[in-house]
Amino acid sequence: MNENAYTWRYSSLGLFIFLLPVMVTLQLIRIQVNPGWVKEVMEFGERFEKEAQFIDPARGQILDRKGNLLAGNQIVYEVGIDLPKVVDPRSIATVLSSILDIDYEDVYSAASLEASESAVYAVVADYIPQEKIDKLNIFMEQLSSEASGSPEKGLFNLAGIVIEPHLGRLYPERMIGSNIIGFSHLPNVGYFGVEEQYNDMLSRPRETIWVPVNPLLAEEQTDLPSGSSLILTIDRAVQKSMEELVDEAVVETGSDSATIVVLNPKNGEIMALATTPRMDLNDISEYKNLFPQGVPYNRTIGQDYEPGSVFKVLTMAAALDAGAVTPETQFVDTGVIEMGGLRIYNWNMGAWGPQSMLGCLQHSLNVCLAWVSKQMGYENFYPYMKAFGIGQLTGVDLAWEVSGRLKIPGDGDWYEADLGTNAFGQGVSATPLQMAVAISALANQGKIMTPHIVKAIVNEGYIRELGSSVMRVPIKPETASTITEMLAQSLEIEASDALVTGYRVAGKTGTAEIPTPYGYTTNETNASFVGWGPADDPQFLIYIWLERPSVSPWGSVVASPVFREAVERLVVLIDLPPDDIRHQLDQNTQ
Amino acid sequence: MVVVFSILFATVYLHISARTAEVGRQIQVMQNEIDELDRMNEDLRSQLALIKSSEQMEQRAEALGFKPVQKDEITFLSVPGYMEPPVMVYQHQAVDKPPGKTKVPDEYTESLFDWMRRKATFYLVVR
Repeated sequence: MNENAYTWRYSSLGLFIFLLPVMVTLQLIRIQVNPGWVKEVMEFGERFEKEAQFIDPARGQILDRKGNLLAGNQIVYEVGIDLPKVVDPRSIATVLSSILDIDYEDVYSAASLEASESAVYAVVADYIPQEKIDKLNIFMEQLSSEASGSPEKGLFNLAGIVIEPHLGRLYPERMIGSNIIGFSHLPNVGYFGVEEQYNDMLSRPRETIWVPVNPLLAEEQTDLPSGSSLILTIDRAVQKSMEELVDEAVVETGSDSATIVVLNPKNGEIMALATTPRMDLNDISEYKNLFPQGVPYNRTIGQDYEPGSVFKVLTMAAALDAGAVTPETQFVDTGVIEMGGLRIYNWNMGAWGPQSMLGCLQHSLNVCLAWVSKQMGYENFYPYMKAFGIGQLTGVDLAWEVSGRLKIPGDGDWYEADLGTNAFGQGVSATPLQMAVAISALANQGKIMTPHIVKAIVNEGYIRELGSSVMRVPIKPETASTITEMLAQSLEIEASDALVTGYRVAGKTGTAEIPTPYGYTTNETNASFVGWGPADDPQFLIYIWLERPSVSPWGSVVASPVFREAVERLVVLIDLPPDDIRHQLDQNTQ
Repeated sequence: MVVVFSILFATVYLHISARTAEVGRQIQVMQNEIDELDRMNEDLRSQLALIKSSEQMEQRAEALGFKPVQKDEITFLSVPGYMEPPVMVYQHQAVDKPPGKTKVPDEYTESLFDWMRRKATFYLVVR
């Protein structure tokens, strides 16, 4: 072969090698000198330069006053299907439905979707716990090792299954404080209690971060702060103890439900809200069974009722404060009083003769209290009740509080007889927390502190304590001291079941008939007790409500012992010494 | 000479680009690790709380022979100078830097041409 025969080939190759970089250079120059082109090319490149990552910042924690975690986060998993990678939808449906306990047909129809530009991924299950994912992973690993050993034996092809971890809610204490905490099992949504009330603080909206695909452009991502954490006023030990007591009370008194409110009258901090029913917050599947239509999630704030004789302490406090009566005022009880055309009788239909105001409270005389309200007149009585907050929301920081009802003159359904019946807690409704908050004025020198459940908010490492504030001052300090003394004496004279050895307490029972569309029930009652102590320096106020007790209808029989038991448990848990020792300690520290 | 210089120049450029890409990739991997560790931290806090839950603690205490104290079994002592500890105990870390994006210097991300353009612009504008 002649060497010249190859010359044109070498020349062509050389020319190509020479022209290629020249063309690339010319193209570079052409793009660089044309700003429109530069922009277009840059935008085209940017479309593939970054990919979106969706980040749900961790929901804030909820802790009790001692730092015990009540609501935190755990790793859970989303299981989805990468549609373009699916080979065998039946295998995927069989495995996922059997291991994750989800519907076969749902998974199969999702896995059978034809991949397109608008359908690339399908979620088949979310919030799957670690244990189930571990089972799935083990199964998939076994499958892949078997298939690699002998591909012909491979029964399942699970290509396309995607497992993505994220955070979900966990409630380590399960049922303790469930009515207070509420629950949140969906991103950025809280239901009931603190979870709903403070949802905007606990959660942060989902963030979309554009992460460069090109490693040359990689840079540190912004630190996304998690939601704020909340420190509650409750102590889990006190809450648990009161919940146990509630359960015991339901059994022992044969009540439909029981409720205990414990608060610190000096600062409005709620120490415990215990009621029935309660729910394991990690298993919300029981929600509909436990809380059917009409059953409030938290009775302490969501269920108003006619409180009966515990209301008498408010009437008497108002009358003493207004100067309508004094503790020594004598009333001759004839067993009946007529007000607005309604004849009002005592609980035993008896006449109790001459009574001081202390005797009226001690024997819980409806006739006497109706007379007291008459002495005040409706123009004084109702402003006092409003000042106590009756018929209004307490403003406690929990979702779904109801206000109860106080009919006042001028309302279409208010009659003069209501002044008499309202005086002993009939024809007026309030929630247990409302009653406790109103009566806290008597235990705190006449001041009602704003009730609250959140003590502090922690945001990005900083703690902001919310403190306490005075909400209302319905009565004078002297009145509060006087009525506290009267109620302490009343319990002592009666040798009440509510008395606690070593601790002087003030309190009042309540037995209320239940209103129905056909009048008041005669054989079913709401039994209540309110008490606070130590009488000379109240540190706690406890409100008890037993709904329809079957053992006895009387508050003095069923609710008083529950109060005593609650105090006996509480003083141990909050390190409150008996009165004599407390006085000694006070003297030593002075 | 030109060829040798070009080859040397290209080699250095390729080496630097490769190293930058590798470090960039490491940053991305570490970022994912940070996210995973954050999740694990949250999870571990909750797992610890489960272990320390009141039900678990009560079972352990009972197994060790403890029983709930009754109010008449407590002896109160007056200790001069004793200060009651704060009710709320919450371990927290102070934030030592404001949240925000950390800017990586241009030298770590720009290409050779970007660098040349930036320098050229600088000289043209400044001089």
